[in-house]
Amino acid sequence: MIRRVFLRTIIIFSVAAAAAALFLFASPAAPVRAQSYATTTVTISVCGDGIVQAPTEVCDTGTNTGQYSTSSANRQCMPGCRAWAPYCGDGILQPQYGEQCDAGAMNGVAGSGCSATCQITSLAPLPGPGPAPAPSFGYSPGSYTAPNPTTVIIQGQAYPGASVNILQDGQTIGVVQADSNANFYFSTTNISPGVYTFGIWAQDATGLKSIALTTTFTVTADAATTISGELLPPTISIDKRQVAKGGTVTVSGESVPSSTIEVHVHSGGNIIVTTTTNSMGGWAVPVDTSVLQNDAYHTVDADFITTENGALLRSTISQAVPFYVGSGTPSKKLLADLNGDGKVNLADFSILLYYWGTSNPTADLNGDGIVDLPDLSILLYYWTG
Amino acid sequence: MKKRVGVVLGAMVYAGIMPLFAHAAQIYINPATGKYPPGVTFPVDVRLDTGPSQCINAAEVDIAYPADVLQAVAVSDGDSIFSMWVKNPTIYSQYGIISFVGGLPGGYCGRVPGDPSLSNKLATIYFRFATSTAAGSSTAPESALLAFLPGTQATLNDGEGTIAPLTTAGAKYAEILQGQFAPVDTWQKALEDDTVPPEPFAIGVYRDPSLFNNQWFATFSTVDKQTGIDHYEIAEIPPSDLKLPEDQWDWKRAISPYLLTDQSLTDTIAVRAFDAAGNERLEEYTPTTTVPKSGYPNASVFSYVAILGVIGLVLIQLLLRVF
Repeated sequence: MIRRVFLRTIIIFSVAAAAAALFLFASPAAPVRAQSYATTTVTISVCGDGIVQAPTEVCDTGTNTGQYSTSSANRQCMPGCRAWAPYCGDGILQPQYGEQCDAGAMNGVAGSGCSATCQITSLAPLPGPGPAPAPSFGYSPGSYTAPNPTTVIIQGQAYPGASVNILQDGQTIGVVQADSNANFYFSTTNISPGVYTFGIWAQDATGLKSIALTTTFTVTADAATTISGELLPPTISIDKRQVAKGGTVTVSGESVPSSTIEVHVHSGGNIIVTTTTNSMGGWAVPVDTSVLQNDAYHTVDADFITTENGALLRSTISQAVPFYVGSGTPSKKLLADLNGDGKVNLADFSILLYYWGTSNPTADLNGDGIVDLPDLSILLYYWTG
Repeated sequence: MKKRVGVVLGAMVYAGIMPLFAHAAQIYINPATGKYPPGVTFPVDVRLDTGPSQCINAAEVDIAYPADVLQAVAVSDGDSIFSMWVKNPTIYSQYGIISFVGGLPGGYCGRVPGDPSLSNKLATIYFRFATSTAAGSSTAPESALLAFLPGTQATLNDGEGTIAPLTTAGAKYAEILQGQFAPVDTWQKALEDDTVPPEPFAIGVYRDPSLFNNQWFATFSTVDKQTGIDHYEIAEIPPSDLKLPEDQWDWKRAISPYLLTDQSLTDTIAVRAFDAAGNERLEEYTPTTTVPKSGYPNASVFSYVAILGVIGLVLIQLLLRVF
């Protein structure tokens, strides 16, 4: 009896251990990969460089002190570059700055009643020495105007409530949460001027990870560099990795609520299926595999389309999820995670570096017999930070 | 007739090949031309342009320069878009070659509309015309050609490591011998102006069977936006020595990955990154409480669960037998 108990224990324990191992060590649904081409929605505006970058900026005088000016020629911009600072000529009566009137463009025009220095002309003394000039607030001797701190602002769209990871030159510097409309906003002043590559990836409510969007640009000193239009592609997953020809696979994921999703099935020709995300950002489409080649791999990816100011904007394409049509046993493990910790970062790069120039099979990611540039490229593509 | 056919054939071949390079990336030297007097150290950038809708994430670059005519004073990775280096920019003066291998995670995808600068620099080389003419002698002014060697290549950020179609453009510099020039040293000036330390970074502690026989090692990497990274130093500080000032810790020059001497992970690990101007960024990491014993879920918890599971199974079966 003891032997039977012993054998049964071994069997049950082995099954339980195997199940636990599968559960604990299974790699995430889709590996995090980086984009394969540039997005055209990203723009940069630098508040503080003296250049007005519409539509984000209304003005940019360089210093952007936000202080009152006595004429429209000398007018200052508000810090943030979204509006002009008060000035004589803006058509708004500002008695706190010594204005008696402000007729906008008519200041100084005969008959307007208001002088170029925002004083009521009928009160002005007859020609002789002119009226005392209005006090100038553009400069106070002895005061110090602190330079704007060097700032970087990143904004875009991910998924409702998603955790958006921000990487700076490959290292994670922050995680922000997207709101219910999938908009996210990140800012930092903990940065010195120079050229940086920012990477952005997000995890949706179900735990799926997007690809990393990278943008390289110069951060200007004493100015706020704003990067807008970072549209993260939809997350994407598939319910079956393998299906018999004729069966249906369901492709689903998350994106910006109430936007159009375009799903592309790549197999010789391209099949495009369009759908709309619901109010929570979720989407799902069935793909009929009867038109696809049998006993072959196919991939499916997606992007989303949104409108802004009447213009159509398209996000970058998501990672391509492979699936197999036919019978047979496909298997794909998370590539480039050389130490198996679920991340592709400096630890894996260290291993690749160590075996550079050798034929070490762990580091030889493309299997061509040598650890060299293409293997470095594959590792950098899958980088998670 | 033959000549005309030859021209037509040539044009067809050209037309056939050129589209292949329509989407080519380019690594080039900027400025492409220049005239400099001897005694003046001038900077030269190595830059990368991508083809349309293309991201490049790594490159191996070899530049040949005439070492008998041009002296390579320094090469800097300051403000480079590459953040990971397999081989930092190095001057091999005996061969007249400057080379580096590096990349950036996610790739460089071209200039973003609105960017005030090119933001595409890989490295900066500081050159000086080597010959200094003695007063009164008349020698012809030298000219120097910089060219990319055939081993120069770049890879696409496509997950497959595809070698990108690539064109390169070198440079030609001439020496000016007429006139009086002050010996300007732009590299020295850059070093003097640089007061900003390297960027902050994190120290990683890992172990893996494929490295150092599964012993604990430290990883560290950062960038410098001004004169570039010069070297790293590491110190393993026992808890009793933590109260000592930083310069009294046992510093050793190090490269990442670094095999730790203290394999019990009780020492605090400190790494300092130095840029070429000597500015220092210090980071510390105390591993004992936070580092997992391996990359996998905590092994000791797993074994407790396993032992309890076995005992539980045996008890359950005995109880079932009894009832």
